[in-house]
Amino acid sequence: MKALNCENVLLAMMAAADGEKAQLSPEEIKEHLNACEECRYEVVRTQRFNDILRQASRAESNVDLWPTISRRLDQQASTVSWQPYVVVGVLLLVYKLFELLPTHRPGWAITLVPLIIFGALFVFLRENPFKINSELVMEK
Amino acid sequence: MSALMDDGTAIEKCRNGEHEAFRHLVERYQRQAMTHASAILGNREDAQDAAQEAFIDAFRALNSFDTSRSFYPWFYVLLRNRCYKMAARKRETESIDETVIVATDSPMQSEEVRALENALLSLEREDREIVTLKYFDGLSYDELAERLQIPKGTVMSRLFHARRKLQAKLER
Repeated sequence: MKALNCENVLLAMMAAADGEKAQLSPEEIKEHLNACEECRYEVVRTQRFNDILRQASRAESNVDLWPTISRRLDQQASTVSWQPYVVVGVLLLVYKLFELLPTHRPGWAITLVPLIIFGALFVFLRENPFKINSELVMEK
Repeated sequence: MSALMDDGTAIEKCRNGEHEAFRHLVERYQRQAMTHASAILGNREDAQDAAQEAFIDAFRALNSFDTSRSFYPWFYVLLRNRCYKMAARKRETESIDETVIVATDSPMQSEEVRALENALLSLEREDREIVTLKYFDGLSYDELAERLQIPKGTVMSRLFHARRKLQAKLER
């Protein structure tokens, strides 16, 4: 009897053995197994295979990754990248040149551009310019 | 430093610029990260490099981490990205005496351990990854779907075919 696809039956059996919801009911699986010799053979093979997997466990590794990671983070923190400041400088220069153009009469909104540029710089650097440095307060 | 700092507190401190707080996360998850990276890459040296890079990626991306979720499943996605990037650049390493995936102190005979280790190492990385996550870590299909970023139906079929390949290699 091959009314049910063998692969679907084996998939459903794997799901059931793994404690998951199977797509087929136990009755459907049983009915298929009664009629399919290949799948009965697969059940025996799978049981042997499952026994091996059940006994196995992961090899552990006792490496301490922190010293290297810590060093890398320190290097990263001490490296001040110059590119964002160059970008900001160029943007401000372009803004100034645009503002100086005699033929243009931009609205008041243009005055917000430098603020937006500096805001974007602080967001990029993940710095809060309004944050109070508690260490300096303590020193007073 | 307190040994009892939870992940959320450590992450919050890291976001406020305290690098040292990241140590809690590294020390808590490095063993897991190493075993998972070893299972994907098949050797410890590359696994160590990948795990280190993944922790640094995680540190840089902490601002985008949703603290209502668990750290490790989120970190695992970064780790596997690192592993697969590294794997694309490197050849499979030759088999050595030491096992990197299967523990030698399991109740199995040493030949069985070696046979399972070799069979796992001869699988495709993705097959090896899903089999070890399922049968060594005991993850559910939903958890596998989250870790591997694939639908649950794909988890089932990928696991099914990976198991069959492993079974065939073990029976050879």
